[in-house]
Amino acid sequence: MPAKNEEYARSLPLLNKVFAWSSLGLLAGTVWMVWDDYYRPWKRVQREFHALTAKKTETAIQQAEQAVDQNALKQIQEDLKAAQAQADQRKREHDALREKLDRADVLVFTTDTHYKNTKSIYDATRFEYEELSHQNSARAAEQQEKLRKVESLLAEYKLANEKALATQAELKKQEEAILGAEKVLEKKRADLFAGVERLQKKLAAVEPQGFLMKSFEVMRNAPLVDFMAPSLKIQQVVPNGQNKDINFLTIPRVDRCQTCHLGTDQTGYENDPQPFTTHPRQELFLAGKSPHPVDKMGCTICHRGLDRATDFFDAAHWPDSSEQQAKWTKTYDWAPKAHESSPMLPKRFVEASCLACHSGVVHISGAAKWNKGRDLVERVGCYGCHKMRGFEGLRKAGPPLTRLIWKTSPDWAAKWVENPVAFRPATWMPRFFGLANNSSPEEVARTREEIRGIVAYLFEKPEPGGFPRLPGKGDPGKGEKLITSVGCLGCHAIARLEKTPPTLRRRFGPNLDGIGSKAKPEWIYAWVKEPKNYFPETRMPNLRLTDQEALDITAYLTTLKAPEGWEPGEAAPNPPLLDRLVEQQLRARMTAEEVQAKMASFSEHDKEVYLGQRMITRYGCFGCHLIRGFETTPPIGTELSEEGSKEVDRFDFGYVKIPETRHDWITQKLENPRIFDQGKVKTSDEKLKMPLFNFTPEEREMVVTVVLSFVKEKPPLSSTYLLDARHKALEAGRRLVQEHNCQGCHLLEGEGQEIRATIARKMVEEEGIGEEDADSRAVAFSPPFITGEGARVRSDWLFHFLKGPTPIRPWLAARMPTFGFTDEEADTLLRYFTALSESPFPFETPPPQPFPPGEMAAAKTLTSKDYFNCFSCHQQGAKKPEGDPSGWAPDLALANSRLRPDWIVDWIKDPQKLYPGTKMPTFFDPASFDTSGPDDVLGGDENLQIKALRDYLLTLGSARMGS
Amino acid sequence: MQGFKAAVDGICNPPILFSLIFALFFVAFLWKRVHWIWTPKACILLLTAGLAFVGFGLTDPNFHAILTKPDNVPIVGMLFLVGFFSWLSMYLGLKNDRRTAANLPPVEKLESEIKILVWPDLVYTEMLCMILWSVLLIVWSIYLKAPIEEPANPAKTPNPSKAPWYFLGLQEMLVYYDPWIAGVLLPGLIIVGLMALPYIDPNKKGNGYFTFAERKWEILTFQFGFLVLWVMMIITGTFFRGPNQNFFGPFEHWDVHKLVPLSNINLSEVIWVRVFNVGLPQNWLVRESFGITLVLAYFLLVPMVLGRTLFKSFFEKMGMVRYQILVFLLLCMVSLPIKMYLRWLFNMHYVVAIPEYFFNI
Repeated sequence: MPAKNEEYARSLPLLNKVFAWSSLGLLAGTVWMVWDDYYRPWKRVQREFHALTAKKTETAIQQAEQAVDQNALKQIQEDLKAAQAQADQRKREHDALREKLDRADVLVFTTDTHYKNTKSIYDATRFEYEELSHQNSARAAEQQEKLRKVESLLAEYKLANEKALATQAELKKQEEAILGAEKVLEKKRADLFAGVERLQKKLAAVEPQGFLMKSFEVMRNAPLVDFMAPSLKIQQVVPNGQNKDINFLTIPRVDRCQTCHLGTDQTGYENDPQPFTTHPRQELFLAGKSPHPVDKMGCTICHRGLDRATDFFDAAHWPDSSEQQAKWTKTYDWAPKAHESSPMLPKRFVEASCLACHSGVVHISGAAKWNKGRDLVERVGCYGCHKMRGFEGLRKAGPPLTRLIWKTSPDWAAKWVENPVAFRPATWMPRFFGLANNSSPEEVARTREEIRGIVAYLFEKPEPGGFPRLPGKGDPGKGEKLITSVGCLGCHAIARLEKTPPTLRRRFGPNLDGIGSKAKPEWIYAWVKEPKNYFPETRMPNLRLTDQEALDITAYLTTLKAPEGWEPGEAAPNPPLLDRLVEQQLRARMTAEEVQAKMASFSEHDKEVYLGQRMITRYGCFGCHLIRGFETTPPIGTELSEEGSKEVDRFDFGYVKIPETRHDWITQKLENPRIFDQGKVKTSDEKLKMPLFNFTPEEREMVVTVVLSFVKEKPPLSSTYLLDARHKALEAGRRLVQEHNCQGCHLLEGEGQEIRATIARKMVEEEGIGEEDADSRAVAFSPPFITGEGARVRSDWLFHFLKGPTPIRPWLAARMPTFGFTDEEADTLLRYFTALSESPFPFETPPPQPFPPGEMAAAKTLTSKDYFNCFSCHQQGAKKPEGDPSGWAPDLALANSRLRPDWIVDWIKDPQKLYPGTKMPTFFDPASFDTSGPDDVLGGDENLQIKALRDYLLTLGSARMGS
Repeated sequence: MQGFKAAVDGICNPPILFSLIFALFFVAFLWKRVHWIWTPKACILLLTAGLAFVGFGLTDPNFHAILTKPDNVPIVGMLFLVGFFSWLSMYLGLKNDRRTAANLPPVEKLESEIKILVWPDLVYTEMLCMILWSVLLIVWSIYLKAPIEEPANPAKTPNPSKAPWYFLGLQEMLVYYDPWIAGVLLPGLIIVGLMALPYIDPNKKGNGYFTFAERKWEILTFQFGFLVLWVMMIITGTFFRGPNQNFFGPFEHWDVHKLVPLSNINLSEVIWVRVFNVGLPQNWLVRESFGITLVLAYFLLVPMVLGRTLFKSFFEKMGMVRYQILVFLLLCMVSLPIKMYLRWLFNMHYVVAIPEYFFNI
């Protein structure tokens, strides 16, 4: 019994109204919630992609339809008509046949069913019999009888079924005879439209046609229903074995990038905008046949970012440039994602991800930027101060400073240390002074005093010795010729000779500008004669120069003077400042009283030396140079082995306003290493001290890529690039090749021979030929290509050649230097070359001798003047060819001991294939090989002729070992 | 505006802020001349002022960043609720007091005679509240996403590392006391004390109706503990404690690199070194004898003195045991502001410092 309205404390109609409205509100809220949960940006992206694909497919269908051969179609249609007419004529016959066939089908079915039923009865009976017989039951015999009966029945049914099948097949054949032509033609017509049909199916899949299909499409993607078979769905790969460490747990990596990046693993979207663009390097990534198939590697192992994210912001995309950032901010509301320890690498640094899997190699094929960065890091010697994985055990990057007095003067050293670039703009030596945090007047005064100290320390108590006076006078003109021809320019550059900036390999050795103002002539002479006397670990090889050649080169190098206005000289001493600095240093280590005593015991010179020692410790000069007293001092820099994983908030951005990311910080650090001191109050000992390296912006980017590649995360073994024995040999060799800059002169593995440009340049200058001409001519006059060296020469020969080179190509001015390889190093190189060409190592069986006399005679004929005239260019032992040595070719008497027999065959067959640009003529045209040889020798058989030539060459010169 | 912000930031340093709050608390409750603040008009005015302050503050990026953190939004809302209900209780209490003074029964007495039906007056309204709350929560959950961060990393803890908001009062106590006191003893005493309240409350008045005059002492004590020592501590912990647990004004940027000088000393050091000018004794008992004496005196002597003076009536009404419990709990509560002032004024680290046994007060 409801109470009357007025008895209520609150007005019921009002409550009802509130109830009505709030219920509507709840409904609206619920709908909104479902929509908010349902509507995800990626669904819109997938719709866009489907529309794009539909558009592309429509165009493709049109093209495919146009491509259909209309004449063929017409023909087929006509034939089809004829065939149909023919079949119509035999309709009655066909009907009768059809009736028979129906009956045959019934028979096949019934016999088959009977057979199968009987088979199951047979199996059961057999089992029962086996059981009874095992139990020695009396009923066994009875059962056996039964089994036999079923068996015979089974055989009967099998026979009946076979018969029925045969009848059916016969009837089908007859029907085929009537309808066959028509069927074949219809198939042909379908084949013509196969492409179109495939595309139409694709179109229907991405854009359903017709009201029914369209409604179905909406239905399957509707909220709540979409758990069954939606067309819009998350696309993910779970790369095998790749895990993510989330600190207390490892979870599988689940890459959902392809939810939006739908076209990335397909071709045909190369020119479409992101997120649909085809991956630019399909040959390396994503494709099933590439080394990094997407289902095994995924995406985030290289690109980083949040693997499971399906939203632009959550995935932690990172812009590559400020323009991209502006665009993203506008389009996607992009902002730096906080709380993400591994955001995506900007595109320009993406090669930083290669190293994690490809460790233990010198260069990573395909990662050009990382490779160059790695070479730079090694060249400038970052590892001298910063410990980093993969750079252990390398020689110090700079020369030793233990006997500096033999080489130069304190005045020069002081001025050089203060600003190396002023003396030699292209030097690798970084700059420590006059930078952002030490260029105020008082800082300059302080640092000059420090430099005085450093120089005093370096020249204090030099090693006894020195170099004798020059044995004579040299000719600078001849010296220049020598320098530009014997091969110095493979590793060194001289600004005066360069027209374009030299490549990295040609900056392997120090740039020689100003050497005349730097080094004493006696030192230069001794150095070029035998560098290892001064610097036992130097990479500089011995070029076996005669005394006169060395004198000429010395004479030339002494003409290379410092830039105009550059004068050596130390700052004037400033005793009060020196006292203050020394006291400051001492005070940090001892009490005031001890400092007093120490200062009293110091002479002015002692103070300078002491300050120098402290400063060398502070600046870490010993990281790159061998300095007496610092032989075992550990490096001063931060270890970089895991820099790429370092948390961003562990970087001190100070008051510098740059985006707070790893790459921005490292880039900024390289660009201006002291900038993070800006606005801070620091004592001179607290100041940042990393020097400024002479990098271009591109080089900086390369170095940053390398630093970012040092990460903590270890990829699973399954996705790691593992080295087999051959690749280990290759990498050990590449290490040596890199250390000795072989590619400065030789083309090896498709890279190097950078000296060729200098030879071409010389040809342009001296012979006045065009640049293109010179370039192709220079190929023959440059040190040889040696990629195939392992297949070309015998291992024992190469071993001896590497240990003590002898001239092979008399026309080359450049000399193969004596590097002073140890046995171990030479062996490593042998293994490297043979591994590279997959040749046998170290021994192989020579062809059996003696060779048939007929063959020898034929070979002699072939080498004669009337035929190939081999000895017009090739030297044969002491017998030299006529004309200028620049036209000569290698000594054929060496062939036996030097060349591999199989290689000789390949070489004679097609020299240009093995050595593009070689001077060796092609006698057997590969295009028409079978008719290329002379017809009157060895029956005109080219293969026999080449074999004869090879065998003949093997008999020249001394007998080879073991034969 | 910058001047105003600087002034607010200036006020917001612990000693000034807390002294101000203490003073405001007692003035608001005890000074009759300002009791107009407990009227509806004043309530609207204060609410408007509060909202205006928040609105103005939101134009400042630093204030905005802290206030609109998804974790903090509900706390802001609850602050207004705490304010409102504190006001409401006082408003109703004072209203009844005026009626009592005029010899009228309290409002609740009148209301208790009105009959209200369970349906629709109670159940229907409850259901409406439920529906409206659901709407609010749904909209809230759509708008404010859950503040999810990266997976927890033991090598990279958040700075500042904060407890859930309801524990921030406890965390704030850790600034002044050792963990065993701030984290174990005091919270334990809060619970025990709240449980003991019915047994140590000698005042039978105020049952079933709001009043202030009849329960002045009880209300003041409770509200001091709740509003000043609990809610205010939560506010401090939520809005004023930034990186490295440093104190920041509401308009100040939370700079991770901010450094504050910290040179706290123990009572034993003050006495032996500063006063007696000798080194610290080897024996810890001798060394800490002054601190121990002081603490013992605080808990043993003060109740006796109070029982004869200020709390004489309590002592007489409650008897020895109940009186001792009451005073002990009271002293524990007051020990917090005492320690806070000791820290701010004298850099007092510990009154009793026995690191040998991990015992510090």
